[in-house]
Amino acid sequence: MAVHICSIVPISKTVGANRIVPAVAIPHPLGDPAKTTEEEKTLRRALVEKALGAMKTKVEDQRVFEG
Amino acid sequence: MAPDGVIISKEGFGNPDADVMMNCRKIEEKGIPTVLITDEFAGVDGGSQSLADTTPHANAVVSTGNANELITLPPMDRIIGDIGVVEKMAGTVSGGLSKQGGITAELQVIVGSTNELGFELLSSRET
Amino acid sequence: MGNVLRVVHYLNQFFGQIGGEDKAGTKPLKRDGAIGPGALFQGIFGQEADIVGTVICGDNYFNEQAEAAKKAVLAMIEGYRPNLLLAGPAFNAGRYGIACGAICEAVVDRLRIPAVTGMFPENAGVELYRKSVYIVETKASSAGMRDAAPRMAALAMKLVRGEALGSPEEEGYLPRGIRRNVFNLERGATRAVDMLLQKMKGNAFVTEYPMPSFDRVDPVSAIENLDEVTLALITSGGIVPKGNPDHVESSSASKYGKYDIRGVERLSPDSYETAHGGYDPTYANEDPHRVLPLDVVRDLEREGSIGELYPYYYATVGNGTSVAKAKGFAEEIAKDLVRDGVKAVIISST
Repeated sequence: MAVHICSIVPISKTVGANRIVPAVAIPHPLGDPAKTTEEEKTLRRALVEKALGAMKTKVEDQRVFEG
Repeated sequence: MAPDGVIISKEGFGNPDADVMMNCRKIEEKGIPTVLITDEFAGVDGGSQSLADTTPHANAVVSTGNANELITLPPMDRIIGDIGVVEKMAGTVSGGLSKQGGITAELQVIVGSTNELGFELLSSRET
Repeated sequence: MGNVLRVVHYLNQFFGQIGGEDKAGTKPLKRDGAIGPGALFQGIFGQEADIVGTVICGDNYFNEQAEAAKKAVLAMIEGYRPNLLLAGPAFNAGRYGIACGAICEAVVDRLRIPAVTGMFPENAGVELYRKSVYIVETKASSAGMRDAAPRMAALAMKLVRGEALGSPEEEGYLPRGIRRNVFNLERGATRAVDMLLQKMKGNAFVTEYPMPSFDRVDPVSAIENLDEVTLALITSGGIVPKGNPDHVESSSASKYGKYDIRGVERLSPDSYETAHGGYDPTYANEDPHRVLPLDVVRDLEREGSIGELYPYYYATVGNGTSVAKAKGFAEEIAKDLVRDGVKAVIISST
């Protein structure tokens, strides 16, 4: 089971990922230099937890786990 | 019967596509080369998947044309039959009968135009 | 020939001479006349067409703010009242290819003028836009500029003049998957017999309808309970030990690295860096967790949200790396993971 945390969702869809979590930005998918280190870690944890949530979610087809 | 090669044709589309692909696969798996003759239903814009089923074994296909492609037929001096059905048949489009009597419709309205025995010169290519 | 054609050229921040990866966030801007490779195209057009303006946008900005970027770029293009749009060529640069494809598609749709771009067949933009956009086939790198430009220009002129096109092979663009009827010199039955004879002899033949292939897998069933599961991390963002001991290439990677993280709780910028040459490395080098989230996964492991983190992580560089190579890496990595009972993987990409 793989979850793809990625910045460019259309590419992930094209290559066939079934569980996709949109990332923050291309040079820092799991971070944000505009935030403090603590805030970044919180943000990163939320994205990873979303990925774990996606693993627990039944999907029939490709699915993007937004917001 | 132990042929050295098989040409597989069909009549119709949809379920027959599944049959053709299944037959192709079974024959190829016996080591006998096949060629399929089929028309296509690739949509009016030619951008849809042409056949309802596929198999990687079907690597040699003759296409007798996309039956969905639109054609325009000029008005005729003499009409045999009821022209009113022209917008109700398979392949006709709403508004396809012009005031002058010309018809815009899919190629499939001409029966036999994409004959799957390969009787015609018509083919289709990727653009 | 009539009036001189007005052409607008779309470029990214690099070809538009704004800057490199550090300027990939550049918002759309315009410059009159030809910029950078535009001069080459202008030379080819000669008196027939004028590149009246160039619109430039950063690759990251376009991909991250797609709606706003498209709107702004389209407005700038429209302001030049062009007869034709040229975009790129983007070669194998994925973000650039996506931008070129999106802009060409929008221009054809909204401005009703022809648009031509160029890409290497593996560019991510090809899969997304091949149906709606004429994409001339190019080499993988900008060394192919002199080869691509004349073919792009020739196709563009044919489109503007409304001339009938030959086959994709003849015109040099990537087949769009759009079927068009054509009359052959021989009837289908004859063609079928000829094709079968060739196939039976083991000779080459050309199918008239290539079977579509769907590279999809069925979604794996949901995992109810992750607290027993071993999870592995993989990244295409190029996070490697400092010094890149395996020499994973910054572009067109020919390999991946497998790195032991037993006892590693955090990725220090003193011990790790990014090898990826396709994005601004500043942020990843400051804090590798921004690409490989080891810190939070360790926390989740300690808290029992997952069973354990696999003792190795895998890294490659997804910058222009061929699909075939990437597939090969995945097959090898999967063997390790399956053998060691790993049930879940998070892949992070830039």
